[in-house]
Amino acid sequence: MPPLVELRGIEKRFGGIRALAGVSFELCAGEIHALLGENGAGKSTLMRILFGLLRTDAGDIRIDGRTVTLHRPEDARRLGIGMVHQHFMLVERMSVAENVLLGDRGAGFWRTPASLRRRAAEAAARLGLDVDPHALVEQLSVGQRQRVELLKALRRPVRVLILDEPTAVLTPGEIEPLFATLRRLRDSGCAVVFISHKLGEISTLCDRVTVLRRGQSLGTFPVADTPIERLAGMMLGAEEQVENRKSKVEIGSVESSKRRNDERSKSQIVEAGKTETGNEKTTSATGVAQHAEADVIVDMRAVSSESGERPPGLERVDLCLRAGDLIGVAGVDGNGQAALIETLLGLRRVTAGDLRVAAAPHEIAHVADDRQREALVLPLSVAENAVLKMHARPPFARRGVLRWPAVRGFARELIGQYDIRARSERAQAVELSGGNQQKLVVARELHGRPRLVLAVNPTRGLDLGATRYVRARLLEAARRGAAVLLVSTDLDEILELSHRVFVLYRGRLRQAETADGLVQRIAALMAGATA
Amino acid sequence: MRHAVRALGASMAAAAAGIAVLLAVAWLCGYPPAAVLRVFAQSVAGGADRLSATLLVACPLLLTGLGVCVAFRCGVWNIGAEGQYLVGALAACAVGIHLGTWPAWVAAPLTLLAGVVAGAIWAGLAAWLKLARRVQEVLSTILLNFVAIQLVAIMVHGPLADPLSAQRDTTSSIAAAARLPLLSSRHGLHAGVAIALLAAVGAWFFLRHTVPGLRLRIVGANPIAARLARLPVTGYTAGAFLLSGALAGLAGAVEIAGNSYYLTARYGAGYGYTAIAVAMLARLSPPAIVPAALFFAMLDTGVRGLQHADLEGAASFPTTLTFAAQGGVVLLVAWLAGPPKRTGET
Repeated sequence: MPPLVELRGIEKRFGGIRALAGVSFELCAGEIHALLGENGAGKSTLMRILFGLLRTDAGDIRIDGRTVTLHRPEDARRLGIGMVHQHFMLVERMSVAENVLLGDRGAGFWRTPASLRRRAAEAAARLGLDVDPHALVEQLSVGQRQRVELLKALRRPVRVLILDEPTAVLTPGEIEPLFATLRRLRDSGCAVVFISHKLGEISTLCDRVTVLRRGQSLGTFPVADTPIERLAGMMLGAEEQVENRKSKVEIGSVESSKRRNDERSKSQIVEAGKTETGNEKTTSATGVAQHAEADVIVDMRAVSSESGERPPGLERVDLCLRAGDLIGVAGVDGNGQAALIETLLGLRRVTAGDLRVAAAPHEIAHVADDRQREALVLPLSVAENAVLKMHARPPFARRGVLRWPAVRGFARELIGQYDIRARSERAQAVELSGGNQQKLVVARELHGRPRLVLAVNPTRGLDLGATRYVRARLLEAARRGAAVLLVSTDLDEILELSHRVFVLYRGRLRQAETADGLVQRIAALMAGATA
Repeated sequence: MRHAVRALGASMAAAAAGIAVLLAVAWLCGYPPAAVLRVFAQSVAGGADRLSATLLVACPLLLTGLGVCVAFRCGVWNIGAEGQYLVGALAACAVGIHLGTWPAWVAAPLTLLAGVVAGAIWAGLAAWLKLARRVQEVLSTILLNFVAIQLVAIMVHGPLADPLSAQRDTTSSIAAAARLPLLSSRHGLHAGVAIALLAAVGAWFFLRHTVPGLRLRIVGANPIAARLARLPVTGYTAGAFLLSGALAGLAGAVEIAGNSYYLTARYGAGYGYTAIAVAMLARLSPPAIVPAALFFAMLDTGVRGLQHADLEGAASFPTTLTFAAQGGVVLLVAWLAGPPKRTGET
């Protein structure tokens, strides 16, 4: 039996970024197929192509074995493809029935609301979705709104249903009814694509899983036969690391013994880290021990913080950062990274526990997660962005008046030192490429001598050279006596740079203790393993 | 400054296009374009009194335009310059009437100060509604315009009414000491024009060369980054409201103290609304607001001249054409000054 949908060698570029690099994907009738990957791995892009929202640069789309061209979502709908977007596209002030039939060209101009409601109610009953067609969308809960989106997608016969991170907005109680609906759809012969980075949900719901990483497919696997840790590892790049090691072991013994030494020293480092929090038994054989006497920069004891705009908040987090430490925090996005950083910056209220930060605000460097949203002011010039946090201090200002020669000189210095490609320091930040924007942020934040460095995904979207450069600067900052907290979803990066590794999961921070199978252990913690 | 120069180039192009639109519409309506242009130019700058009439209109447009500019630069969509202008004029009038026994060097500044404070308070109401009650300023400022219009009418008919006026629809004149000195007594050109130019220089210096000015622009362009850089976002937002209202209030006070000397029940001339077009035409750059205000003042006096002129036998020129031209200019500017192209990254 040929697969229902076949995507072959799909390529897609956005500007200079290659979002999809020759991805192939197969979907069969009567399966729930997970599309797993980190943010930016290309999951949504691939499915938007299948839904006709984006055009491919290269590659084939085949449905029932026939090549098709999809210019717009209407083409996809006609072929029986429906999609539920991550962000709801509903008209708040209209009723459920009106929303469901809004885009329906079959609904005539004069059709009365009564018949609209009847049709919506019929569709809801047929699909077993419990939602009142009279209700106004603005009065519905998030879970109910999602049911309306499902109704919209399913009001016509659908053979393929794509859901983009459908559980991201749901409460735990709302998730099970959604899963029941999806299972019913599968059993009726529909193919369901479930985009997610939540491993637990994939293992309970899905039949097969395709893993994407950095715009490439790492293969499709049956969920039942694939350990969840392995999926986590693949998604985050640990698999590559493991395979690299294997190949190196095979190549030569010198190489492998060096690797083993690395492993051992890592294990000792981890032991040392463990003893720090417990009884004061410091080992002298490791790098960390040199700084064991040094001053504590961050001391968090059982700190909980409010969940704020970007939940979850922290839950009883213990963390001790000393000068010279470079601590890695791994974890899947949305597990409290924002809370950790904002709490340390003093921007999120601590609800319990004891937090001490021995660094003045201007001594904290913050390489923010989203450079365009959080770190840069795009319409302003490179020079203005270079002094975003220190423009009020000499030599950049005197008695409240800016001294532009000093500001521009400083910006030119950063441009030269960090090889930022900009027309001039007067160029708007928006004119720079993504990589150069990131270099500008790193340059600004690591300039001078910060005591505490908070770096969140500092190399996301950077090319190889820039990545290497940014990592070198982080290591250098730690060497010069800063406490560096590296929060990253890239496990490679964490393992390459960190002295100790912690994992964030639902606002809780756990130390990855054992050296044997460190990668596996981290992957398991990220998937939510306890103890 | 480069930003100002670029803004100036775009606004010149848009202004020229605006005049072209006016002429084209006039031609389509059967008026000879050459005659229209001649009459237009004469009414704008044909002699010292015509020129000073244009400058007298440009003065309140410049001040209110600066007010709108400061607010927009901070991401505050204050479209209530008209209301702030009116309460500024009202306060200046109420204070200026009672300053007959004071020396001029105290009375005139005090009159202006009354307008500044009143305008700031009026904008402050919208700031409070936004920051404490989450009411969008686009809504609150425009509604406060209507409140201000009625407030002026109540005060003019009631407490401030001139006892000698039969209809009771004007106030008494403000004291001679409270009036602004005249730069040219024959043409009625008052010191307010100089004040407005100084305010433009001040606004440019503030936004471009001071720490609070830079912070105001940072807050306006990216409040999230501003918060992470530990800038008091709420404080700067409130400050932008107050400063913007103060400038519009100053415009109203200058108009009272320099030009009209008393209030009427229907005082507003729509300067506060035109100010938005002025600020947009200047692409929110204070130095460019000077020519932008002049341009809209020209449009105003030029078209008023056309209404009264004999255009080779054709019927008098309708005011509606001015509004068409003004609208055309704003659209052209929006088109010429579109947002910068973003890079491919999403």
